[in-house]
Amino acid sequence: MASFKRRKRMFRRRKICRFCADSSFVIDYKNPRTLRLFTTERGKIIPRRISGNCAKHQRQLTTAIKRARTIALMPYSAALSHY
Amino acid sequence: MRRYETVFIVNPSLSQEESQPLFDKLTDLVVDHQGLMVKFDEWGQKRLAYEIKKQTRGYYILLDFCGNGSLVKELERNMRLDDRVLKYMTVCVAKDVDAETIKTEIKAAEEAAKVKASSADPGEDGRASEAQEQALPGETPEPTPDEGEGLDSASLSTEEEEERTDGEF
Repeated sequence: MASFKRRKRMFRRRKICRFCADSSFVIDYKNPRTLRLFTTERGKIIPRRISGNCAKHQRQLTTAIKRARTIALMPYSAALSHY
Repeated sequence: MRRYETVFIVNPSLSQEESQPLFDKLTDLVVDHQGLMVKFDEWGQKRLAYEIKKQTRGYYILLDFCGNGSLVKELERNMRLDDRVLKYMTVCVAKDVDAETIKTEIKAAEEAAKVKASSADPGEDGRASEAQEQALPGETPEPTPDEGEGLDSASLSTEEEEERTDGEF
């Protein structure tokens, strides 16, 4: 069990917040193309523990995605065929 | 004064003559309420992510303006009553802005647009050289936005899969 755990850790890549790493990568509800990277193909917001975003940017991202949903730039829920 | 952004969606089947009075009315409203129009940006027709009033496409318009709460209230009331508007959303961008600084900002933006228009006259050359200039300063060739996004999304999805398989154990 222990060896298995160790192997798992070896595979895990260190995640960094992409908005902190690249300042030109901005969060804007008017730009659904960037936001789409942080949603699943079903349109759900990808959690922070998976995407690796920092808490600050994840909060901003969440509001941005929700705003984009409000004005139909992004889906609330999508049929898989839409993608 | 506060700075707001209103995005609204107009029925795409409207012709220019039909929609223009509506746009004029809304921009006039901003001026009437001691507001300041910063930008009137037509994004054009876009596919809607979901149907609104049985429409799958919509004509998007972004209003960037300064004003106070009563102006927003009046704008939204007008859009709500108008059948041509499918949906609208107002976002407060800045809570305390100065009218003078905004005015200078508008002027600067206008001049920048003019310069761009005059330099872009020869055709695509202007844009291409701009892109090259941007790429030059950094020694390492930066990937173009599209490539970067593609790569990133790929890496993201693999990460996601890893995590998911982890979770199952």
